[in-house]
Parts: sequence; C-alpha cells; structure tokens
Amino acid sequence: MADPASAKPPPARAGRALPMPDWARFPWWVIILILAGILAATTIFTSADYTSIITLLSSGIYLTLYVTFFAYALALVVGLLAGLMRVSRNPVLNTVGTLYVEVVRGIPLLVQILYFFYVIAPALADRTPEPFDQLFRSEVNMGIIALAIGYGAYLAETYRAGIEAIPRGQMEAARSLGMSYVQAMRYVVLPQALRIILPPLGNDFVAMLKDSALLSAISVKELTLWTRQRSANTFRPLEHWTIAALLYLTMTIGLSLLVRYIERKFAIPK
Amino acid sequence: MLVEEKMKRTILVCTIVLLALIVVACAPAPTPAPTAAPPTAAKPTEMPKPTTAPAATLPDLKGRALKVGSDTTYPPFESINDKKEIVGFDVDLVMEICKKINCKATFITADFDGLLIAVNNKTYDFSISGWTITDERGKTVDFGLPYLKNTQVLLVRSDEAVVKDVPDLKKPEVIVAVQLGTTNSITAKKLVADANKQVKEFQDFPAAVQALLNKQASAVVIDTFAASDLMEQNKGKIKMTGAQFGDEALGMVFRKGDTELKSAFDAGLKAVFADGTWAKLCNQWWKDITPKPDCTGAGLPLK
Repeated sequence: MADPASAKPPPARAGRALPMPDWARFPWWVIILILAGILAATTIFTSADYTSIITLLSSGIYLTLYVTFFAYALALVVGLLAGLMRVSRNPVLNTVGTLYVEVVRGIPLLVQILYFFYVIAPALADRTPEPFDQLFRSEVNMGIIALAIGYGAYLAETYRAGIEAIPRGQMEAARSLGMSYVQAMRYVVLPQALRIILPPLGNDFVAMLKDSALLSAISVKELTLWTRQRSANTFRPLEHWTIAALLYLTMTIGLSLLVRYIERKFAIPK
Repeated sequence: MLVEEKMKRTILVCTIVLLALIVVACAPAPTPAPTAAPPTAAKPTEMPKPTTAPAATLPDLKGRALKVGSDTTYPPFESINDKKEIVGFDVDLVMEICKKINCKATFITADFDGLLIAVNNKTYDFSISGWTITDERGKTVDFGLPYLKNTQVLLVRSDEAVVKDVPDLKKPEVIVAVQLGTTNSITAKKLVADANKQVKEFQDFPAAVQALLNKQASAVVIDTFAASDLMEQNKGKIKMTGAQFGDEALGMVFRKGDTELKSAFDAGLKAVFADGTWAKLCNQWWKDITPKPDCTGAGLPLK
C-alpha cells in the first residue's frame, strides 16, 4: 500500500500537529499588549499621581538592571566553569562540579541570598583586611554574588547540555588532529555548543531580572524595595504595585525581544 | 495565488480590527486614577476625653472573635517565644481588654509594611504592633487612644567610634539600618545627609540589628522601649548612644470609620488602666530590662 500521507497534499505548514488558520497565527498577544500599553500610558501620563509614582519608582530600575547585568555576567563565567567540570573525566573536578550544582539547585534562591548576606558575607568580611572588607559588607555586591552563584548552577547544566549535544566524533577528530583537550573544547566544541544553548541562556537572563526582586529582602534598593517602601509610606498599594508590574513587564518584554534577535542572528543555519 | 490572496485579506482584516480597537481604547476619557486620600483634618495625637467610663457601662462585644494583625518580631511588644506562642506587652494588653469587653482575640503574624493596608482591606479586624500615632497614618486608619509614651534612640555597636549622637548621622560614611515602613525609617531619612544612600531598610528590626552586628551598618534608629529587649539579647555587643528624641505615643490601629470597635477598645483600655492591670503589665514586660517606660502612665489620656 502507498504511504497514506503522500496521497493527500501536505498541510500548509508541515510539522505542526494541528494546523492553525492564518488569522490565529497572527501575534495577537502583541496587539493586546500594545493596546494595554497605550491605555496604561494615557492613564499614567494624564494623572499627576501616577506620573509622580512612576518617576519615584524609576529610580529603582537602574539598580535592578545594574544588579542583573553584573550578576548574569558573573553567572556566565561560574556556569561555564562548573559546566566544564560536570563534563570533565577528572573525578575530582567532576565531583566538585556536581556537588555545587546539586547543592545550589536544591536550595531556594531567597534562602541562598539571605544565607549569603547574613552568614557568608560577614564571615568573609571579618577575615579581610580593613579597606577591602567593605567589598563584602555592601548589600549590592553580596546580592550580585548570591544571584550569580544561584544562577551559575542552572547555567552549568545548560552548558553541559550544549556540550553533550555536540557529537563525540568532533572531539575525537579534533584530538586526532593534534589538538589538546582544552584546544578542542575552546575551538571546536564550545563555539557550536554556545549557539545551541543561546535560547535557554536568554531565558535565564530574563528570569534573573525577575529574580532580582528577591534582593529586596537584603535591603538592595531595587525596584521592588522601592515599591514596598513607597507603598508602605503612602498606603496606596494599588497604584504602586501596578506601576511596578508594568515597569517589570516593559523590561522583560524588551529583553525578550532583544534575546530573540540575538538568537536569530547566531542561529546555526539549517 | 490563493494563499497570497488569503494572506492579504487576513492582514487587511487585522489592520482594520486593530485600528478599531485603538480608536475604541483611546476614545473614552482615561480611567481616572484613584484620588488621593482626602485631606482630612490632621488627627490630634492626644485625644483627652474627660468622660469617665464606669465598669458597669463597658461595651459588650458578645464574645466576638477578632483577628489581630501584628508583626511579631518586635519584643517586648510582640514576639514568638520558644513554645511558638505569640507573647508580649501588646498581646497581654489586648487579652486583658478583651476580658473587659467580652471578645476573643487571635493574633496573626504579618509583615509590618503591609499591615495598615491589610486592616483596611478587612484581612484583620484591627492591629496592635507598636504603632506610633502619626498624622500621616491617621489619614488612612483610625487610631485608638494612646496606650504608651515612646521616644526614639540610636543603637550602635559597643565599640562604635564614629556615631556618638544624632548629628553624627550626617556623616556620609554612616549607614543607618531600620525596619521598612516604620516611623524610625522616616526619621532616619530626615537625620542623614543622603537618604537614598545612607538608609538601609529591612523586613524587621532583628534583621536590622543583625546588619549592625555584621558591620553592614553603623547605627539603627529604633523606638526606645523596643531597644531594651534587643540590647538584652545582644548583651555587650550593642548599646544606646546619644539623646533620646521625639515625643510620641503608641496606639492600636482600626479600620477607617470602624468607630464601634475603636470605642469599645478605648473604653476597655481605660478600664484596664483604671484597675491597675496596665501598670502591672508594663512592669512585668520591662521587669529586668532597661530603658523602661513610665509605668505610672503619666501623660496618657486614659484617666
């Protein structure tokens, strides 16, 4: 018997389980968001109350972005090192990497942040000579390190997945050409792995921006702490938390679009 | 081609719908932002009511169950003891008042900075949590009669060299730790040179004091009679410094307009004051710790 699929013409877009009509494929969520944005903008900029709130809360955005960028950069490095340890055949490195990933992934990020600020940071600071101990007493620095270590564990697993997705033969071929393990990793495996894991890396960046709100617990004056404080002093939670939510949404959607652009630019051509 | 035709039609329809939606969305006047709290006349801190409330005419709440919101991280006013019970001066005071006016109070732990809003949202029936009576808060909630006189004070580490008194907070290197949403936080912001850089806000006072001990801050601004217990717990590590400042009173917090509950508790408070229970509780909770509030109740309008 002939293949039944070949009897009928293929659906408009092959590969989809349920073909959707054209109108449904239109990105309606973008339209709805834009409309909500227009509504919110008109409301905000025609009301003196909202304008003053948004001006006040905006001062928290800088620290939110600052903390996120630095913590993410640090997490990329920590994650890469831990990820390389996880794929390493060296039993010591492998054990250390796995221990780090399992311990950190098993503890809530908020608990990690509090533990860092109240336990590890003072211990480190007390063992550091005078002018440099301020490094460990700053809540912003400690927040950045805590976020970086927390996310480093997740990124390590992402790196590992990317490295393991590269066929083993490539490493073997590189080694047989006379490259060392490090060279093969650096020039053959990692460049391809990075392009594979760009989407999850981008996801984690946006997730980290949202998780930076947890730093409000250790008095990092980012957007969430600003909102808590302003809302507590004025007793107007509705206005303040609405604006905070809108500001976060604006940042995350903007970053998502940026991440998508980068993904498309570096995608491995099919 | 058929597909292209269909695509064009879809895009056309989408554009029309989109334009229509924008017109509809923009046409009505922008939704009015909730108006600010009405500028009611400033609530007087002192409410001397010369009416005497004899025990016979005390209000009767008929055994009503009341949910009391409180940030139980504030000894000796309210805290959670080793047996996981909520205890403290505020707790005993409410329990004693409830004996007089026939109610059953249950304390519930909540974050301080959201408590007033929660009371107005009817999450709790009222709140007692070492609330300092202020005009600003009085616009949002109703305060009961003042039940304790209070001042504010600076806490520093025992070996502190820079911060000796209030004016030292102006020095730019001094970091002040406070609890979020408290009057101490507002005071601290007025006392430092740069409120944005010099004031760190924590969820509760024990966390602020921990930051002080860890040298992540050099001073804590706190209510004087809440400082006594924290100093007792951290004996030899922290001390008070400089003069006490501010002349304030603490009051219970009721929903705006809930005069029934407020007047019942005002009457009950006067009753426990008159029969000496108030002074007994005051002496009991500040028994072995200093500074101790004035347990004669001088200056409180409770007679």
